[in-house]
Amino acid sequence: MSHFNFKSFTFYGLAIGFVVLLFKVVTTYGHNLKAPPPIQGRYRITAQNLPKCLESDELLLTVQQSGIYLNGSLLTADKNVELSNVTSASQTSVQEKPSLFGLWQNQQFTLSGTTNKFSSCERKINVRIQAFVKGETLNGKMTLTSAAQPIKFTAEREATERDKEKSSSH
Amino acid sequence: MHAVIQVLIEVLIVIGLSRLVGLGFRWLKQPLVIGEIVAGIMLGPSLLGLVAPDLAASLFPVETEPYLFVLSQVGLIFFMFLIGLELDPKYLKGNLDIAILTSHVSILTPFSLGSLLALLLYPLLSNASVSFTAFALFLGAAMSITAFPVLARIITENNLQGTRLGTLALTCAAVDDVTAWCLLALAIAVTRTNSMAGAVPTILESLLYIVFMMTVGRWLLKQLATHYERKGRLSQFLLAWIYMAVVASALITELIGIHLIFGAFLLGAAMPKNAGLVRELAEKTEDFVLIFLLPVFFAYSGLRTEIGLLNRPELWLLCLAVLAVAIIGKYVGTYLAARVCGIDNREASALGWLMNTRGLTELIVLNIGLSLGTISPLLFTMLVIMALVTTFMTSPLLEWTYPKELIRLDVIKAEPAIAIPTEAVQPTYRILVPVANPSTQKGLLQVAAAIAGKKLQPAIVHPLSLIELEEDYLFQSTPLEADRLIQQRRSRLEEVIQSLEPPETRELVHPIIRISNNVARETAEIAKLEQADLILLGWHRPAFSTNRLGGRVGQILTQASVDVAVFVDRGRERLESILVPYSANVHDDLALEIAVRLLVNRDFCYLNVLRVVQESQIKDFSYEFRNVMERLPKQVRDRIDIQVIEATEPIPAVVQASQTVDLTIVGTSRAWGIERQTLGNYTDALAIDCHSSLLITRRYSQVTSHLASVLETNDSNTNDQTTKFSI
Repeated sequence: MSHFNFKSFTFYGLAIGFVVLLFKVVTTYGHNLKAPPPIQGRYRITAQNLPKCLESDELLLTVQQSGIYLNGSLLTADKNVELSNVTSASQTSVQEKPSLFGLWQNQQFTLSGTTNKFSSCERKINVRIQAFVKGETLNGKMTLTSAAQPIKFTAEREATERDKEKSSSH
Repeated sequence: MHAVIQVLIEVLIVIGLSRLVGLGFRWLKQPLVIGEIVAGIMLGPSLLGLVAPDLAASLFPVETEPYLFVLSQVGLIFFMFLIGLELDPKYLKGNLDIAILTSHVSILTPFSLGSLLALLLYPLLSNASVSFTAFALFLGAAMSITAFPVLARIITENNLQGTRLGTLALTCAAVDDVTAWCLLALAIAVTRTNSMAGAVPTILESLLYIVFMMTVGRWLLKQLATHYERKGRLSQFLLAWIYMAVVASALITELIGIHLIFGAFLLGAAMPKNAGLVRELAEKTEDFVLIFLLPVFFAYSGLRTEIGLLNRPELWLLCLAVLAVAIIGKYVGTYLAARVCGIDNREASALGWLMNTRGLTELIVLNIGLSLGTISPLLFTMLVIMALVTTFMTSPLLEWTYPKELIRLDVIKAEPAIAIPTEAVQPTYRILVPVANPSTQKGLLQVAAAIAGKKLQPAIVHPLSLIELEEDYLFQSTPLEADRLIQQRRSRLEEVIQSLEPPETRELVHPIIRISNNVARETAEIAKLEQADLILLGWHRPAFSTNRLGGRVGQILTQASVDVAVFVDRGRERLESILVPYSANVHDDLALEIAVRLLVNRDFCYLNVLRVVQESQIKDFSYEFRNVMERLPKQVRDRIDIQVIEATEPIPAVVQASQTVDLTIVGTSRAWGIERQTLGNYTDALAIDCHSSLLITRRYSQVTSHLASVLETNDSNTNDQTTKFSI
């Protein structure tokens, strides 16, 4: 029996029409939904009152974002060494396995966890970061167990490979 | 370390682990490709990065990722070309109208559910740089995928290519494949321009290019095919042109703004399906792509998959939601459409599970989504889990919904040799003969036909030829190519069958030819399914074992749940005198029964039953033995000679006796130096020294009697028969 008849064409047309209409309704509604702004990337932290063992280094915060769910890592780098910009935050690498986890809520994010990547300090440090995002700048405070009080900091986001690609394609 | 050396070390590890894990998954009856994907994930932060972060960082440093990326993209381009090349319009032959409807509904339902799911996921897992339309389109497309290549292999492996379900699923998947790629191209165009309206020029350019490829491109490729036919072989020059065309086409689609893979796929699809050209082209391309480049793609994906990101209960719940939408959407869509088309409940359900196979196609789609930033790493991980689960579940759910024996009843093209006319008497005695190489196993078939015979109950011999396809993605494992291989093997077997003597035995022989990835397991399953009384297999020297009953023969002996006989052919065509060394165990009883069958079927056959005893042993035969002998017809008994000899070592005595016979039949017992042990060394002394051809028997079932009909039909007149067995 052939199914290429009026009945099946009607069914087919109705099915596609329904899906197109549904998609239209969903996207219309969906455009009112607010997704968090993109904040993923690498931030160079500038702060006063860092513990002594970190003073000679530069602190780098890498934020990996999946919507409101954030992962990150806090690394140290020699201030005098230019860092490679090969890895964008979206490219998870084994080397930069995140050790901080947090959420983006009410225009601010929190990241907390333990890091043992500060070779110049004690082996493991509990880190808690709270920050507001304004454009490409982070303003926040960071608590390291070795420090007595929260340390205020600002950080600028570095352009990732994708940002560069986007800016060159437009 | 220099980047090249580092990358080569990475590739070495990737290929090694892919093969290893792939083999493990084959053992679990899963497609090799699933194992390779899992191997990729294992090398990433999900496992290696978790248990040995320092080792992972030194093995896969960030600096080498761009090189892996380039290698994986090259692999992907040529893999997509192979997929397009395999997409033969012949697959669109089975119930095309039903297939079009079913496959489109099976896309529309998960797409709709996927876009609804986007309402939940967008605020949680995406960010404002991605437009909701692109996100919803992409999620819908990801949910709608059916992996034609993996599905085609699952169908071939299950020998479903000739069944209604198999052809319908293939047609649906082929239609699905093309539709889903179009949907994905649309999603990519929208993502890159961030709006539907902005994507219109890209869509128009893509359509133009498709029309160009299907007209001008196809005409040009036809010229190449004509050139191939004239030359009769695929020269490197011609291959270079084709590869250049693949790369050029990939570049054009990238320039248009969809993706590299579409151009390669389109060129493969536009290639004229000249059987010889396609086979040669696929065979030349696939080895390097599948062995070297594709595992790199899996590893690259694995490095980007981080199951550890799912570190909150609500994230696992979201992952479950993704999984549920994908499975339910595909299953319900397919099931309903198939039911509307009049397909029965069970078959519609099986089709629903088959269409849920997402496999590698999904992984390709997800990588594109992640690279474009449409999906976040977390959603990528969830969708990779979904792809693995949906592919993994296909085979077991298919078997659960629609067992093989039921599917085979639906065969469209009845296997001519198995088809037994309904008016014919159904056979009650079946011998299964695994045949690896038809041209060298004529002797085996001759013995099988002699054991089956026509004088006892209706009997049948099934030469079982299993075509082993070790690789998942090889062109030869596509359903059409597998069909060609089956036909080729069938005609070779027919040649051997037609040479069997006497001619009337030929009608007993009905071959079974199947695709298999595990010969021993499949043989055991078919023996069970066909209710075989005996498996008769030829002996060949095992590759990794020194004993006669090792290797594949040993595997069949271990796995088969029926009586088995192994034939060691010494090339003697005559089958007139038989020797059965008898030591009163179940395996020797089977040897005797088979020998008596031969005697009944062949009037000119003589049997010598030899009992070797030591001085102190009882020389009498058991009551059961004498009873069987007494119940045999006189004309059979008269041709049996029973001998008892005294010897300290039984094996040399039997070896000496075998000098004057054509066939020696012995049980797998310690008495004859033929033994299979769970641990320790195997012995096969007699098998090495025996002068005649040898049949080694191993009894599985105490219940099966190979003489039932002989004894029963003669029960009434046994009393008046005298016995000559007064031992």
